[in-house]
Amino acid sequence: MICAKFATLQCFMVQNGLKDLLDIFERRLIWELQGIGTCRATYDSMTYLPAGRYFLLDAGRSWPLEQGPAVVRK
Amino acid sequence: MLDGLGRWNKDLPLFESNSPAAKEMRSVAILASMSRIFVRQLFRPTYLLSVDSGLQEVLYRQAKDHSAKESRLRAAIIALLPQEREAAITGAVAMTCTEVSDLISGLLSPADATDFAEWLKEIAEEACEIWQDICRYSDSVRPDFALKDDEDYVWDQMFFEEGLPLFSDFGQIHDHDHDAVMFAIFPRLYVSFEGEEYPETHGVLFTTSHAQAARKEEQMAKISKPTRSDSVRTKLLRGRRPSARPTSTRVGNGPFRDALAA
Repeated sequence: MICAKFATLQCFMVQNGLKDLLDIFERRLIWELQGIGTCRATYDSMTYLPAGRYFLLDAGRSWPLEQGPAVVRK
Repeated sequence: MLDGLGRWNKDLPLFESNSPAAKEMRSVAILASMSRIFVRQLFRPTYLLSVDSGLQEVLYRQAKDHSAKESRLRAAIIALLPQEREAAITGAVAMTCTEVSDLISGLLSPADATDFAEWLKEIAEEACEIWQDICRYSDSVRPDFALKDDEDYVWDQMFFEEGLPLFSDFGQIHDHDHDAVMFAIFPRLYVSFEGEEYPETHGVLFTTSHAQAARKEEQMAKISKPTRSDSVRTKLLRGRRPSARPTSTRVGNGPFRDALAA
C-alpha cells in the first residue's frame, strides 16, 4: 500500500507542500458537501428531518417523541 | 492501515524521486487517501456504531427499496443517546486525524506536524458538522467513488500545471477511452429518490494522461537502476577468473557465459 511506499521516501515534499495540499483538500471537500446542502435547502427544504424530536413507532409513520407512545395508549 | 480502502491506487506511479512529476503523484495519492479516510470515518449516519457495523449499507439498501422507511429509521438512529453522541463525534474526528497523520507520518517536522494536526482537526470537525446536517435531510445521501456516468452530471478532473493543482470538467467517462480514468480522488454524492440514485455533486477524477510523465520517469528509473540480483551477479563475475575449461552449455548459464565472452 502507499503507506509503505511513503515510508521509504526520505525527502518527500517541502513542508509547505503538505499544507497547500490540506488547503486544497479542505476547499474541495467542503465545497462538495456545501454544494449538496445548498441544493437540498433550495429544492427540498420542506423535507428536512427534525432529528431528535421524532420517534419511530411503525414502518412508514412517525410521531414526535413526546406524543408518540401516548397516541398508542389512547 | 489502508487495507480497508481497496486497491484504487495500484496503477498510480509512486516512486522515490523529488521530481515535479513524482511529487504530483504523491499529492494525488495523499488527497485520494484522505478523502477515503474522511468518507469511511465521518460520512456515516451515526458515530455510535463502528465503521464496520454494516448499518450504513443496510440503510442504503432500504433507501433504494423504500426511501420513506429509510428516512424515518435514520431519523430515529440520529436521535439515539444524545448524551453519548458528542463523545462519539469527538472519537470519529480523532480517528480520522490519526489515520491521516499515520499516512503522512515522518513527512513533517514535529512543530509543523502539530500545526498540520490542528488544521486537520478543524477540517474534520467542519466536514462532520455539515455531514450531520446532510444526514437530517429526508432523502438518503451516499458518497461513492465508483466511476459511473450520469446523463446530467459530468465529472471534474484534477491535474497540475506548473506545479499548481487545478480542477476542470472532464465530461462523461464514456466519451473518453476506456482506460482514460484511473480513479476518483473525491467521491460523488448521490441522493436516493424513489428507488433511483442521482448524483448531486460532480466528484473529481484522476486520469491516466496526467500520470504519463511520472510513469515514464518511473520506467526510466527502473531501467537505469540495477536490481539486487544484478548487483550480486556483477560481484560474482568480478571475482571469477576465466577458466581453461570449455564453457558450459547448460541452460541457465547464458548470462555468465556471455559476460565472460565479452
